[in-house]
Amino acid sequence: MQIYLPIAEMSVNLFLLLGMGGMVGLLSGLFGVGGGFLMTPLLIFVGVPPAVAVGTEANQIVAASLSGVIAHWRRGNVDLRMGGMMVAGGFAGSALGTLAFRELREIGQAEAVIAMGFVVFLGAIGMVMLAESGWVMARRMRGTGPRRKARRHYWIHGLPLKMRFPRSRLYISSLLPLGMGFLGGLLAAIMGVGGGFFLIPAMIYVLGMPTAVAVGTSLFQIIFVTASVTVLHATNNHTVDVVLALLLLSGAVIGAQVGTSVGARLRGEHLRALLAVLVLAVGVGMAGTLLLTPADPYSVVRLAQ
Amino acid sequence: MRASGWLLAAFAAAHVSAAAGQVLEADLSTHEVAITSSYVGEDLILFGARQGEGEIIVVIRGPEAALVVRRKERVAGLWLNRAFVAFRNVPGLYAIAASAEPERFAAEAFLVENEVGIGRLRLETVSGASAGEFAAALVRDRQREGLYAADVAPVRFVGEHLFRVEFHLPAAAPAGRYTATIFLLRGGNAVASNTAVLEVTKAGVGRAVYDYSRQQPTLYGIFAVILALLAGWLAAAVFGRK
Repeated sequence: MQIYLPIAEMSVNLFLLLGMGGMVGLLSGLFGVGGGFLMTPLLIFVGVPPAVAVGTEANQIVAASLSGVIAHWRRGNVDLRMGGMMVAGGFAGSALGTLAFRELREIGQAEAVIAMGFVVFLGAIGMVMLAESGWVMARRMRGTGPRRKARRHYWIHGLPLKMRFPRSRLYISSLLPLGMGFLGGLLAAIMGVGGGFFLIPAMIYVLGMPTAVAVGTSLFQIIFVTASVTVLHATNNHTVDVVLALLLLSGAVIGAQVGTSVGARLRGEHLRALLAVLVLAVGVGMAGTLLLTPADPYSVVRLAQ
Repeated sequence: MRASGWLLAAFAAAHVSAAAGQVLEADLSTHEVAITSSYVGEDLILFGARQGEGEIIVVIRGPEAALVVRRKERVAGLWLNRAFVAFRNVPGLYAIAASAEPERFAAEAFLVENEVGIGRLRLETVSGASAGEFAAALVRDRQREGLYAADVAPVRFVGEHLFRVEFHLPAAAPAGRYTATIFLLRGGNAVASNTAVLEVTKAGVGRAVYDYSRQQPTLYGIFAVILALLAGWLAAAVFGRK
């Protein structure tokens, strides 16, 4: 059954969209990630204009993050002060990102920048995850216990404007969450991702936040940042397709439930290795759009009236 | 079928008016096509009647729009958009139907003036410069989308006077005004012409969404966020009790 998407201005198979939503939802339930970094490339691969994929995906992540944060909120895993700082930075980042996105679209480079962003981020994150999970698996086979990590001092601890974050048990410069939020907002606006896939590791390994609080706080701030990206893209670029977002969402909600129950039965490092392979595969697919000789080097774009 | 009965009545009407002295009469089976959420394209029939001898040519054009054609070039190993040409007034759809191969019976001047045949389509660039390969790429892209027909569709005669043309409005056809111009040619030039108009409009939920997103973009964005928040909350409420 075909359904016409009013903003993307194309007909797509309804079950393909529900299936894509379900699959990405399954993966996000399985791995505890938002799924934007998979959905945006998938949408581009099935022919949705990249700009619409980015704007619409931001809209979908608002819903996914809200349903995810509720449980974390109840368990007290949201550091409001840290999250608030990140949201402030995120608003600035999303504003700059959407403006930059409009300029890039006008000069015809948006597609290439989106693809490059995915290649760089997915490539780097995928490699790190693969190395880390391989390391843990190898150590488990040798039978040695996990090494306790000592909190180290980096240059970041010398930054000014220090602030107390009681929930995260940290005393760090407020420039750090502001800057990370800013980068998250920028990526959300340009790539249509929540940014959890790089924010959570950064919050854990760079800031030293407890894992559960990092996940809960990341989800919390992503709601606000992607909401701001949605409104800004709708205003400046007319690229938010509500119908597409709702369809993807319906599939994702169900997929996430299945994913969560399957994920509970798998080992952490195996999950992370699987996710790493998936992340790398999407990165390679995106690299293909930049590196392979296109079937037709010419492309046609309709100008906004 | 309802459509065929309707068509028959229309044929009869066309026949009557042709008999009443008009040289050329034509009309479309429908004048309005709604792009609803289940829109996948539409089959249309143009029918008409001619008086006396002559060949028929039909030119169908969709709403015009400004387009940019970009060319990817290899830069440091990456394929990036580099050169581009902006076009204005590019028809959103282009199709030709004729009772025989147009080149056989029509004067070249007539074919050029009325842009009969995809090779005679005048694509104007914004800069005024000739576009060459970019124009060819534009036509190629439109053909891939099914918007520009490469072949001349047949005009079928039903008896002496009546004729019909079947054509398909593809799913990618943009909203706007379509015109079908019908020519009756004798001795290589048109002796009569007629125009039928088709309006393609977005309808239903899709139209409401599209219109709102253009007229009130910020409110539309806020509405999209609220909808997502409701959906997310609902999902958590339904599945979150474990």
